Amino acid sequence: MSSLSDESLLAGLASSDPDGSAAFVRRFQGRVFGLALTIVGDPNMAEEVAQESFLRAWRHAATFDPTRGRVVTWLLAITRNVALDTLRMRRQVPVDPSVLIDLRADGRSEPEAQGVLADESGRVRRALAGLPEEQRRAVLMSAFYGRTAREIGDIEGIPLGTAKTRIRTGLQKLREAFEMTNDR
Amino acid sequence: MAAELAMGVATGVERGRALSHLEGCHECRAYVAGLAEARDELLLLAPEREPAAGFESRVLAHLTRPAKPARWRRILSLSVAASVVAAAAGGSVWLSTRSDRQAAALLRTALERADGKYLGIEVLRRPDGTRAGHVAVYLGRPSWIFAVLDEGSPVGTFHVEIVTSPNDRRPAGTLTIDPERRGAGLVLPPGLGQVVAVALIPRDGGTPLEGRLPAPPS
Repeated sequence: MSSLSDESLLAGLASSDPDGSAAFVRRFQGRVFGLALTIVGDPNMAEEVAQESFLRAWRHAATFDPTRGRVVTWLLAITRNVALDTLRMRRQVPVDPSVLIDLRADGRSEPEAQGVLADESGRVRRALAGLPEEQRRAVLMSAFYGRTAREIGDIEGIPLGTAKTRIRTGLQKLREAFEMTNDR
Repeated sequence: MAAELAMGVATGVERGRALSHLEGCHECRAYVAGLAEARDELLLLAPEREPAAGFESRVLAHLTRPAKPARWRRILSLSVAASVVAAAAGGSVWLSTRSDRQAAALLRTALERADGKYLGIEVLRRPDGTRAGHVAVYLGRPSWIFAVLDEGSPVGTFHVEIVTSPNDRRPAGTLTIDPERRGAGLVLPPGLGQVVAVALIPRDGGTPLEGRLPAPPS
């Protein structure tokens, strides 16, 4: 099972194959729970979010389109949406984004034990480190916490137009950086 | 606006205008899709954390148990079904066995049941004009929709927007359509006014769908 591709495991999940489903959960539970905890900040709530994320992945597995991205990012996007919905429903305030930003923007790589995914997050971290700090903050607040440009403007004390520019420019630069690393 | 759309944080009229533009612009749709992919890559930054012991078993236990819809969804399903049955009891299902005058009278009866001014089924189309499903629309008290997607059309959670003019879209809630049932309903907010179309916008990004209502008689 450990040698099967992510897409194969997702197909196993879609067909409710017991071994395939278990392998899928085992492979991604650290990523899913980790993202959920990053966004909601509470371990119990994060576990609820993580469980619901796997359930949604199971329900919508047949809709995964490999031409539009990878299984891991598709699953993490589901997790992000579930986490933000949970925060909104419970009127919770998300974790201070500066905590996430300080931990993530230094360009250092994760411990070797994380393997391929460590390389991937290192690639993202290096791309993020290439942004000016104000763009980095705006992009992370929007990507992880669903903050609108208006909310970011209020948080940072900047005009709405400036907030929109920071999100747009920052995300565009990241897209270009990812395209360059993919071309290598 | 492209970045905000890709982040899923665009709101209101601006979002409606942007989505309308995307319907007809392949280049911009591809651009927004590329930005959304960059957004998804950012999520890899979150550190991995192992959940509490037994997490895998708890998730698998849910996967093997038939899903029970949330209570409010069951109530909505029943109320929509009741409305459809009420309309059908007015004879609109058996139009082929009635004369035009009788069919019109039966349809009028169906509309009167909930103070309605419109009942119809419209094709849900993608921006390129191809069919993706159909949506039943009832405008009355209350107004509601029930959308069904064809096999092969991506399902999932959709933002529902009511188009009341080319420049005015109003959010009406969300629908979650699963691969087994392929259909779901939603009661619409009151006070919609003139409805031109019903739009379903995939929450995770993807092809928006729209069902256009015929123009009212002048």
